[in-house]
Amino acid sequence: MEENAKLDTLQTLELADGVSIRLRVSGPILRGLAYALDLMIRLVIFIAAVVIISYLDFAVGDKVAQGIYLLIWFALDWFYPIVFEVGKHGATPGKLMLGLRVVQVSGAPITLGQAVIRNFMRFIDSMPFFTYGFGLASCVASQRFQRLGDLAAGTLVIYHRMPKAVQMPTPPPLAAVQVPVALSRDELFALAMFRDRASLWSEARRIEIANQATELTGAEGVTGMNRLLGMAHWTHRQTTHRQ
Amino acid sequence: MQLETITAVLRPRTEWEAVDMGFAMIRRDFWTVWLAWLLTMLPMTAVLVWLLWDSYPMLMMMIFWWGKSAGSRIVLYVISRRLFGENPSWRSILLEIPKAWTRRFFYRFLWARFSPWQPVTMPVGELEGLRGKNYQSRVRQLLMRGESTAFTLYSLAELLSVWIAFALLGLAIMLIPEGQLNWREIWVENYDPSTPFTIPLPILQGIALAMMISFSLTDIFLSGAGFGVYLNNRTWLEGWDVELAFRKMNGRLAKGIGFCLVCLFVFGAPTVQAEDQRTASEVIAEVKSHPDFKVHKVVQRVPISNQDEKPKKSHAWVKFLAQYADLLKGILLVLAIGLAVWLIWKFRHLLQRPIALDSTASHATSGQHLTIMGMDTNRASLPDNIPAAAWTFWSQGNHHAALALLYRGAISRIIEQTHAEIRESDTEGDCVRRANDIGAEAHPQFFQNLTEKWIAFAYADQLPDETSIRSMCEQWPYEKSSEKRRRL
Repeated sequence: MEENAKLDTLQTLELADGVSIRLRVSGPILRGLAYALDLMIRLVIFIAAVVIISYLDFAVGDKVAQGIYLLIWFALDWFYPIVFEVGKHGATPGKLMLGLRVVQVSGAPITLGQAVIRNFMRFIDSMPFFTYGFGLASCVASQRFQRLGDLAAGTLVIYHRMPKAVQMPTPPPLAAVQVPVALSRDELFALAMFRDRASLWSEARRIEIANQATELTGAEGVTGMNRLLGMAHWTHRQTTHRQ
Repeated sequence: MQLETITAVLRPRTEWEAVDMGFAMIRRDFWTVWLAWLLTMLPMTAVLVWLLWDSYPMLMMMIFWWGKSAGSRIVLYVISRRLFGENPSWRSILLEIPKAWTRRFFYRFLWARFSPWQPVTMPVGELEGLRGKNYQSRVRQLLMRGESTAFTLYSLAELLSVWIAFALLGLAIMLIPEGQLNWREIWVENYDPSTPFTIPLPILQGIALAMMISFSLTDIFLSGAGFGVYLNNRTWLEGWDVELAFRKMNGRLAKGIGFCLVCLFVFGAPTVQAEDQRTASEVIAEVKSHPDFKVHKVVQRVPISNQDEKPKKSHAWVKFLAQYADLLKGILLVLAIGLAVWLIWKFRHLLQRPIALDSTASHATSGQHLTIMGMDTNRASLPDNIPAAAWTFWSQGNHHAALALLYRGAISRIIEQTHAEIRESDTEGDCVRRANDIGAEAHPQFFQNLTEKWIAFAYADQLPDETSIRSMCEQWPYEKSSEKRRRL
């Protein structure tokens, strides 16, 4: 209960087999940047098309050429995101570059229907006058950073790229210490975090944190910290051995 | 600082996720924060409007922009307290407003005002109260992570201010009824040909107003995002999340040990058993006497009406039908025959199957099941020398075909030679179990090994190494026994 009431940017989902996954929902700024990138890509495509067609001008005539330009821009404007979001990566090139991806609220890849709804709703989101004011307002106001199109289609934009893990070698503990009691998943995770990030902290801070777990280590100060590192090492070895 | 009362989930995040976290914090208290921000800016805005509205609206806008640091301070005040579980009263917020304008005025409004890292560094000065050298080293340490994010965020926020002002103007134009306010007319009316490069005053006023509203929105979100980044950096640097998790674990362990002691006392004590001397049937009877266990019955009876009326009414119908009785009989017969034919046609595969079995059934035992897990295990569909064929596939690079053939062949041979009752609905695991049940005749060791290789390949795309395939082909136990049997 209390845990749920806490503010978080992640969305926890429980899958059918009881495993929880967390979707890292993306906020408006990166999405805006992705849109800007896509706009540039589309403009480049459009200009290239215009240049090519203008060379063929003599064959088709001015009016026809203008019609073709309009058709190309129409297609780029309305179908460019749909085609890419339904595709393998679930993201337009701009989103892909920034490590974003469109998924269903359940975390599954989006369907064609959802992609169509999501992107046709852009027309509303981009109001007033292509400024995306409505989309931005909806994105900031909704719980999961959804613009109106996302709300209508039941989709989310999530961070797809994994953050680079901080790999700083911790000094190997003197001895692996067996964990005396059963620990929950979160607690094991905290233990692993302590091991992985210990080198980011000063010795004093490390001891300070280890002192919070005296029930587990049964000792304070340097002894407790070393024992805690030993336990983290032990659980790490256990889990890697099992695999 | 009370980490236990924190109202957000601490977790080392990426920089942009930290920004989103800041947004989420603002969203939670949007109306409080916005109102507090507007109240903070109100006195300054009133003076500015009074002095500059009719003369230099753009200057008014710029001074407003410069002063919005006070608003940021209030935003920080509110959301930092909300983060740690406090709910700042309006009284305390109002009392904070004058301080937001005066505290360290020269530093905040002149020296640090134009720093692009201000949203992130502001909490160091405001919340930690650091100054001078301590402040410098702290800021340097904090900005080691996500410095570029802070800079990008700041630039984007300023850009977005203009953009949102533009959107607000657009919204106004969209919503104001046609004919009420025509921008072109205003322009034409107020345009002075002697100074062709100045924009008419009403237009400037409109722009300034839209910009000021836009600043109010972007600044609270910018401050929130900056605070989010600050919080995230401190979580990384100081391991707040780990500390919190350890504290929680400590609490649980302390409580857990206490709980076990309680258990011992309660269940170990003989009094508990002595008290319960009633027999089970008494207890059951007592429980069942509760009204919840009462069985309700609803009986419906059809009221018996006067029988004379009905036949009279249906009489005409019966007569009418009797005239066409033969016709109806014929129609029903045709329908029945049609149904029978249709049923036979629909379920013809049931009739065909035994025939098909007969034609292939030189091995009578393999007759029961043709497909297992969607694979055809009929002997006719397999080559005679399975390991040789599989090895050919493997050496041709067709690994999938090789493994599939080995696995399929093994099942087929097991069914054939051991009369194993493998069903169509069986999974790989079931097959292994059945082979184990049968014992040595089914070579369960080999089959299990093969199944593992197959599962790893089929579901996890892990290709087994060549030596193991080779040894499996060479060891193939099923063929030999069947050959032996034939010889015998």
